[in-house]
Amino acid sequence: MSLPQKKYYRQRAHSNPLSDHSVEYPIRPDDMDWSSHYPSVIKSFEQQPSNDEESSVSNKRPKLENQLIEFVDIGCGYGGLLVALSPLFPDKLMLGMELRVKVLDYVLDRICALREQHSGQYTNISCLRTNAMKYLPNYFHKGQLSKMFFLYPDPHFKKAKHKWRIINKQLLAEYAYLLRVDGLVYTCTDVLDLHQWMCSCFEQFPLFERINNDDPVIKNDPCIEHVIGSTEEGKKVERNKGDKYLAVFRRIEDPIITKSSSNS
Amino acid sequence: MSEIKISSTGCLAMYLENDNVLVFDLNDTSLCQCLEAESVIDDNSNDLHRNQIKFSPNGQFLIINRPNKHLYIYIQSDYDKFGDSWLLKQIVRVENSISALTLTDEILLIGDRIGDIYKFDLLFNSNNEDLILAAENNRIIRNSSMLLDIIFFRMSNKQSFIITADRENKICLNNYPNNSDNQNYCFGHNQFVSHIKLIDNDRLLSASGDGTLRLWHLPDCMPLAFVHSRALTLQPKQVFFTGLCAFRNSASLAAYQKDVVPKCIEISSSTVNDSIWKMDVACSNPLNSNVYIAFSTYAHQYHSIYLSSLSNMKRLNNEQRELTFDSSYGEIIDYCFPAQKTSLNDYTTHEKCFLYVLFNSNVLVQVDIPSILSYNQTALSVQTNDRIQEINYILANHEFNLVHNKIKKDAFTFKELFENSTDSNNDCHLKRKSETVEEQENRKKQALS
Repeated sequence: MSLPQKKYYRQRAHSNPLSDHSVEYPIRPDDMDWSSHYPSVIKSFEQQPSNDEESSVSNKRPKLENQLIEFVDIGCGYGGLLVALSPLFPDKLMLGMELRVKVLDYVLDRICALREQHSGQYTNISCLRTNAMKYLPNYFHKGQLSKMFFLYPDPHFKKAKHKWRIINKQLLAEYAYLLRVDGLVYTCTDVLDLHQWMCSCFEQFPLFERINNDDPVIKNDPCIEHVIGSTEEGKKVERNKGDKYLAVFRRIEDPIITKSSSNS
Repeated sequence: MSEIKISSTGCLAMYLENDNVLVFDLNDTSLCQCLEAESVIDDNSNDLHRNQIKFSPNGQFLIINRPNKHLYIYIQSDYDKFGDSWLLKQIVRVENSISALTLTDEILLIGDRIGDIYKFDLLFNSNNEDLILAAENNRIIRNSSMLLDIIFFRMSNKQSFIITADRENKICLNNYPNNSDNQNYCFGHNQFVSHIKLIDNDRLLSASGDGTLRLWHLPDCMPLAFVHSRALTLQPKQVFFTGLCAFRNSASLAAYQKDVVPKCIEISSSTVNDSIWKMDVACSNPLNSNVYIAFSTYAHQYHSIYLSSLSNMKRLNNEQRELTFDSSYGEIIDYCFPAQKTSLNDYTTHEKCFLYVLFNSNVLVQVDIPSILSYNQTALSVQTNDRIQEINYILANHEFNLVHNKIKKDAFTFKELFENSTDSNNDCHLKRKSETVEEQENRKKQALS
């Protein structure tokens, strides 16, 4: 199977995240069947819609320990980052989320073709269509993720559209819920205004702290060069000789709680 | 729809069709005040009219949510010479229509239909003399889904949450006042969550468009129990209620019942039919551990109220009752339990728990719940309470309009809240894939020819 060609998957770049896209989503994270996305995940019988609510309330039934997704690329576009990171972290499951249908199809076809061409590889990445602004907590448990990527998000320049931006104060509370402590959020954009907006949102939020771009943690992080350069958007910015603004944030414990526990 | 609400101090407020609100004092029903809307409100929107009236827990504040996107805050003071005790203190103007609101004794929380939450201080006396306040600066949380109900929850360890029920099947616990580690979600409903009620300060009861009532433990959001409305509505013990005539014996009552029990028409699909149209919980007397639940389903919203209790819900021991009313009353518009009394001086041994039901014939009926739930016969004829009779007298004489043209419209907007099931993603992907392959082949053919 050959790699898909982008000219057959063209779609408008902007999509209204708040409109009714009639997206399917699981009721709760346990109900999601990941086995169709990753060959290593076994379909457990747990995931049938349980009419037997009493047994799901009691914890006596042992659950098959399936591997959980740790990296999420929100708005993964044509899948550049996922494909680049897949060989670097072969034992971690990664998921891309994309709202645009044709672009999603492109990524799925690309992953399919790569799995065929390189057998045994690229089995840890997949993509699904969902609205990340509304349904993220339905897919992942509290503290499940260790990395979240927001690369070249739609800037939504007009003030009335600021609510559509993927980084805003309320969504940060959701991201803080999903990320484990010491988990990282990577943001990259070529729009300075958006970069400043995102930085101020994160800095005002008590559960995230900024890691400076010259910090050794960043220098040694293998993801960074791909965050900047591996995506289609990133390559386009390079061709047009634009600027790239990178910002990485770490999820920390609630400073009020840590202060009180250190006092007691 | 017309709503009725009863405060903890015994004030009964009724929302009328012309957007005025009638306030009665249940302790002294000669006193009746009409809170008027300043102008005729032209309401062409497709908004659900819910949460139109709310009292604060201490009964001091009354909030009226009118369809012109304004909230009217009334405060109770001493009676003036006209017998009026409610004074308009402030008007709040919002951008989007308000679909959820709640009050503590100090703050007002508003949830609107695009998901934003605003907070107002009720006790703060601003130097600003303006009557109308814009809500813009008081926004505290921005969500993306329509909020259908909102509760303020304070735990015994002083941690507070704002709990919201939204259209996206989620119940969300937002930490208040600062977002911190305790954000949590109650997952489980299949459709929008329309009502949430706090029970005993550590549990939450929710009702949803999927027809289930679910009980959750807070703040960890553990599901404790759930019951589908069908389990309670398929085989309930029916109790027919009338207060309109006196009956000599049970035979004549039974004969009367046959004449006047209304038939209901099934209109929509089963999911919509079984969905919970309205739910209310009686705040229990703390001496008594039982909690009463009254709810109605979409299909039977105009004629039946189902009564259950928390223990019945958990054990499913079939104690629930379906309360049907004499059709001469007309259709049910709304019903409610009185709010919990904050001052618990009323340590009566006989537990009193009344449900107040409002009909479109301009009649208010008071139903004694504990007696109904222990009643084993199928028909009940009651003497109406004097106080209620006075209210009905006032309602009848003044020709207040309770019948809404908008009632059918409300049913329609309710149905719009439901999510339609879609094809699974995989099928769509395969379809689209075959389309793209076709497109590729067509292009190749064109290039060759």
